[in-house]
Amino acid sequence: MTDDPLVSLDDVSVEFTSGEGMLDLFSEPERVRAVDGVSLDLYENETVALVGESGCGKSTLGRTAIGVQRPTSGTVSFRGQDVWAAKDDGTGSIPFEQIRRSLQMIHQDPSSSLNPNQRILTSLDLPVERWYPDLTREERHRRIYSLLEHVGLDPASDFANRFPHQLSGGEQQRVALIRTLLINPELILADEAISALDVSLRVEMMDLMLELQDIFQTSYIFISHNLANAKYITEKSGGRIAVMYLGKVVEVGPVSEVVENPSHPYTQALKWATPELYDDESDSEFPLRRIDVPDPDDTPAGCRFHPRCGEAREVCRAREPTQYPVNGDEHTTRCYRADESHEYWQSEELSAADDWEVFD
Amino acid sequence: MSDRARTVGTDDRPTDADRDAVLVAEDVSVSFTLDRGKSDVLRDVDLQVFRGETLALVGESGSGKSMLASAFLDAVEEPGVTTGDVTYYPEDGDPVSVLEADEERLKSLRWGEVSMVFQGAMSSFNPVMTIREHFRETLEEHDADVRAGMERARRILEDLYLDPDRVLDSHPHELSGGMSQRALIGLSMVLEPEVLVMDEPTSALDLLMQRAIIELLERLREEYDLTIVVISHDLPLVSELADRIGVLYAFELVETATTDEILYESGHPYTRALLRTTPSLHRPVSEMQPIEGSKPDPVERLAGCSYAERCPLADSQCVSEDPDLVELGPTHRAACFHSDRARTEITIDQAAEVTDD
Repeated sequence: MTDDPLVSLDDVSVEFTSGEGMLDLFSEPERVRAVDGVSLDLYENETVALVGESGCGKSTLGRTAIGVQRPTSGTVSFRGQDVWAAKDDGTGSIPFEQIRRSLQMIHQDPSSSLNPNQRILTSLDLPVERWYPDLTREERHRRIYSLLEHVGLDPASDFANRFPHQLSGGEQQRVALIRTLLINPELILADEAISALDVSLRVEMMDLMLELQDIFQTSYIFISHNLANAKYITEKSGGRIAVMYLGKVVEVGPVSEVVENPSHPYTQALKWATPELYDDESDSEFPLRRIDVPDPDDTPAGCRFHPRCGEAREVCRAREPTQYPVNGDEHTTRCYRADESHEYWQSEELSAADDWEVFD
Repeated sequence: MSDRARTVGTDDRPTDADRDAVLVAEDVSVSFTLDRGKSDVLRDVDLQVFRGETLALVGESGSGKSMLASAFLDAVEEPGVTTGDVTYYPEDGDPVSVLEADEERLKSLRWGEVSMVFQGAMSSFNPVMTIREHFRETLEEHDADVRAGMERARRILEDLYLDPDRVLDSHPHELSGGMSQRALIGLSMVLEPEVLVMDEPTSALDLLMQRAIIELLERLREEYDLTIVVISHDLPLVSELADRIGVLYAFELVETATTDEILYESGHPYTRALLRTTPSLHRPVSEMQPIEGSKPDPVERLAGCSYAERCPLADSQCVSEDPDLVELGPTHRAACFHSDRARTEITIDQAAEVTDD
């Protein structure tokens, strides 16, 4: 890992307009801020897991990090080069084409990235041909066969001649992964890439991703709603976990810190919700005031987690917390409780009207 | 389930033999006829569901677990053929032979006595109807008292932490995934069934919502005196809820036991491999092992044990002979010739990780 980040997100926000349906013809379209002022650096060979509930903005943030989604404000840089400046005016040291090639993704549903009417060989060959026009057909095929064999799709010539529907879900996902790796990217966004796989195949797929990371020297953004999977892949590679809630990264740090020593009440709730087979101290008290996430187009004032937070006090409703260090600079949280001298500790607890299990 | 006893099989809990069964499957198979030949998607399942329990049926995609759930209600879709016997034993009244019951009897059975919640609430609701209309229609179709039924609906929705006024007035798409799934569970309970059969009730939802629904189901079971059969691929999640677990592999039931017996003393190599491969927050990552190999083909039926190809303990007997479910204890059955070896040779590290710092 070098000191310079591979990809750097600086105060990035992404807004979408919603409610543009027929019924809303006469009202102002609402702006939904899917990502809200996120700064995050990703380093070479690093695995960062983005964890959070659906609608928290983790997919949008991931897509922004690989230059697929243009941020409404803030900058995304690749090796110091502003990605969107490279696209818009072609200035800068790194051409946009090279940035695009370096930042790739694999989808949750592998069949969506494989043309059902094309043999596996064709699906794998086309991107290599596009990005590496100097390679001969034989050289391309040699690379493809060797990677197919490497991921256990052996005999490679047999698998290469199949159509996607002739592969199992796990095999399709392996093909999708090597299709991305053949382009030799520097960062791969894996958006719920193992969620659709059977439980017995998930560990195998994550192991394969890490093995190929060693060979190809790639970084991963691993998006998951499952903290146990996020822990598995980041712990094996010494990576970090970033927890998102309603557009903000509320806690980020090395996996051991975030999982063993979670600081934000939301991370603690996610940990509580992660089922454990052999858990003797399972505490069954539901740790949140409310089960449901607020509408994303109606972000709560103050700390956006306060309506659900079991620890919330008046100050949490009044003002939004900034980042606080937890254990050194690597581990940060957006919660007043990390600051021992914060006025939070003198602030009043939320009134009875905001008490547990109130319907909205 | 924190008070679950760690010692297994030594206490004086009732054995399977003297419990009161509410649903019994005997020799149940489901098959489809394909171009390539006949395909069994469920084979010779014998299973009892006991009154008042929560039974989890666990397996991977294509294991036959959803077929078993449908077979309980004779709801396997054409051209699937269900054979064997399924018997429903009402609390009062005569037993019902489900696979032989006429349409009229099935209709009252399916909502009023044994209710089914399928995965994905969105596909179960009609998108142009409000939630209120779904409740009304269900009550009317079963000639129930609509007024009393809607009162009950409101109470059930509140028990599911939903605001009845808001939810009843909404169309399905106006609710979040977690809300509509809870509304669907509410709908399945409005005719006061004795048994709820739920196929992956939480799999499309986020972790927090999954766990919340598991907690809610636990409360509902007590309050409404329910028997719950939950079908899932997620062993850690259902182990929080279930009293007993049945494990399916390649269209067969390979093990049934109490949840603790499954976790601490499982006797089938597949169950043990599944426990080992499950990512965990507490256990060291080095302990997690993938399961080698892939699932067998539904058409080419193997002579021996269907897990033999992937099993580290398989020998010549396993390849030539199909093991029956045998009793390992009064509440524990497994289909393996080598259960003892499985327990000693396929180890599962249950301990929490010891961290250095």
